[in-house]
Amino acid sequence: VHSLVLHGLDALFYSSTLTLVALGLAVVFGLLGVINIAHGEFVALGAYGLVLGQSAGLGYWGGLLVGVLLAAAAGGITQVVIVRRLQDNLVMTLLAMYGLSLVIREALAWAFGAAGRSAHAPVAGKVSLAGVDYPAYRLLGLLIVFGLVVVLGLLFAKTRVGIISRAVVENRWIAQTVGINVKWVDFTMFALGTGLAGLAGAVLAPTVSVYPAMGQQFLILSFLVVIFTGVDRVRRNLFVVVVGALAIGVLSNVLGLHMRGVVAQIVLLMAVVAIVSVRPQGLLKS
Amino acid sequence: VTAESTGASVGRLVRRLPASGGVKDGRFAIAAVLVVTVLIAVTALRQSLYNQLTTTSFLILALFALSLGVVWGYGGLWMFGQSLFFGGSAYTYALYTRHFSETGLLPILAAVGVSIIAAIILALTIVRRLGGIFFALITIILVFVAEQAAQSFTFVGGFNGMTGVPPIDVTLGPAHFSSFNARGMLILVAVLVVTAYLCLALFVRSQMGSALVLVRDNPELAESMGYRPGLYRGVALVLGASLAGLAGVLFAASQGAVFPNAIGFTLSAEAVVWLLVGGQLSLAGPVIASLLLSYVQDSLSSSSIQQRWVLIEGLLLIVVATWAPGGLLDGISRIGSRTRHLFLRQVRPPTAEGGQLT
Repeated sequence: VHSLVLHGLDALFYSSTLTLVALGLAVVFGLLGVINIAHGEFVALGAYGLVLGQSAGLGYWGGLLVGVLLAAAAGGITQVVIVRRLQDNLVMTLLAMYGLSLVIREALAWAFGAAGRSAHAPVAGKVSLAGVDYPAYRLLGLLIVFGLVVVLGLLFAKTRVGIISRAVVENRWIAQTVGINVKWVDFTMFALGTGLAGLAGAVLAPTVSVYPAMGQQFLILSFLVVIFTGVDRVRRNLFVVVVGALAIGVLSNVLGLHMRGVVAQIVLLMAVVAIVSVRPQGLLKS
Repeated sequence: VTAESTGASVGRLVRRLPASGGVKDGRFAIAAVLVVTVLIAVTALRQSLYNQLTTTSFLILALFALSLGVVWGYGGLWMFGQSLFFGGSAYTYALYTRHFSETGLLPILAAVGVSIIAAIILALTIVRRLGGIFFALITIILVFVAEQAAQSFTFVGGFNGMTGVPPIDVTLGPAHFSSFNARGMLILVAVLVVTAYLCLALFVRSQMGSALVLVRDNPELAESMGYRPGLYRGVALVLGASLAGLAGVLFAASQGAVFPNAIGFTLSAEAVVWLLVGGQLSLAGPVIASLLLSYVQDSLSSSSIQQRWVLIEGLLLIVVATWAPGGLLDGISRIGSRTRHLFLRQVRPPTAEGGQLT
């Protein structure tokens, strides 16, 4: 039972970070249709923001804010300079975003060095839970992610901003004709998506080593999550991503228990590719 | 209707399609590839052994760039995992020669065969069902996982890769070739680049090439005419894979080693950069761009800029994708003068007067 609870919590924490990374990608890829291959680099920006903030004496929460703002600002600039110009050209956007990922990664390596940095958790020690001692920060991370999903859900469902952005995703042209500034919505949503990536990086930072290429491993997994969930379904309801992330997260943790990490990843990948080949609309039923 | 007349009519049709960009490499482009390759090879032959070796590897990478040009420019497939074929066959060559301790033609054929089989599997599973951006995404994911696998499986040497890969040593009747001889290898690779380029330039002028362009530019029309898009995309993929596989074998044999980055995302992306900088729709573009960028990078190797080469490449990619999507040459010639037709035989959209076409 001990190990079961422990593995369960680990899988849950892992899934929740994946949810956070994939949510940002779902906003940018699912809603705006931009294949943001630089998503992982925005995650890294968030993590470095936390490191910077902490070393500047802002503490964890200040650092978290710095990380989110840094990633959101970088995303906003990207949207204006690159994405807006290439609106309908999917593959050129992809290439430009790849260029951007190289630039951000190299710039981070230049500024901070290629070696890993570490960030400090706001809470130390362990909490006893169902007979298992579990790191307190991981539980806090779980809470942050859970809270965020609720807040975002309310934002999209209840507020005017949320309704406007859903209208733009649903039908751009009609939204425009009723007087919605779609350019502004695109901009805000892109910044929101990259800001979420930054938040994911900042939440993750205390549990991992912070280095310029840290986002790469999440990039592949979060793309897997969005593909697995189905892009069309994500467009209709952003929050199915949570289910997809939970499924992929738990699956990869379970596979990881039984085989080597790489083999587990290959099996997972093959499974997702097979599923997507058979059901391009995604596996989950709506 | 005979096959011949259908082919000819498809050719005519393709020439009528609006906005299909470049269709065939013009005479100037063909001449440029020939002159550049020969010039590079002849210059290197008169220089030091080190220069000969680097030139050989640059030319091999040019062959690799050409292979992506076929898949991307003619298959219309947004391939982000071309190094799957390159690295896959490089590893196969290394494994085959190690386990059967045999050189000659067989390991080369086996290695190229593996990448062709991989391409066929990809064509049957993914290309047939999912085109466009999904193909791009899946190939990105595949190549990432392949690199991780190469890094962690011990039978291919893990992070350290495989060393001691024997050079190519082929005896065909009276003729004998060994890549022990650096000059011989350089000449072989240069000849291969030119031959492969010319064959492909001829191929895309053939009936099948016209059909490929039709499938790329207007899959619905192609399908309604009885051309199966999946089949033609698959043909382009297999062609590209065999060429990339050949490049992989040459690379492994000339370096004497294979490392995980040969199958990794960075190399794939590098090829995409060459393609983009050279222009997506021609075959000469990627070849010349790859040689140009390789030489620029090499000439910077002594300066401090070299350490930031990836940063420069990233910026270049952003600039080209955003401001000159037809490639750098295209962008420059658009700004400068009307020399664009020198590089690509441009297709004019149908005229308003009822399609009176040249």
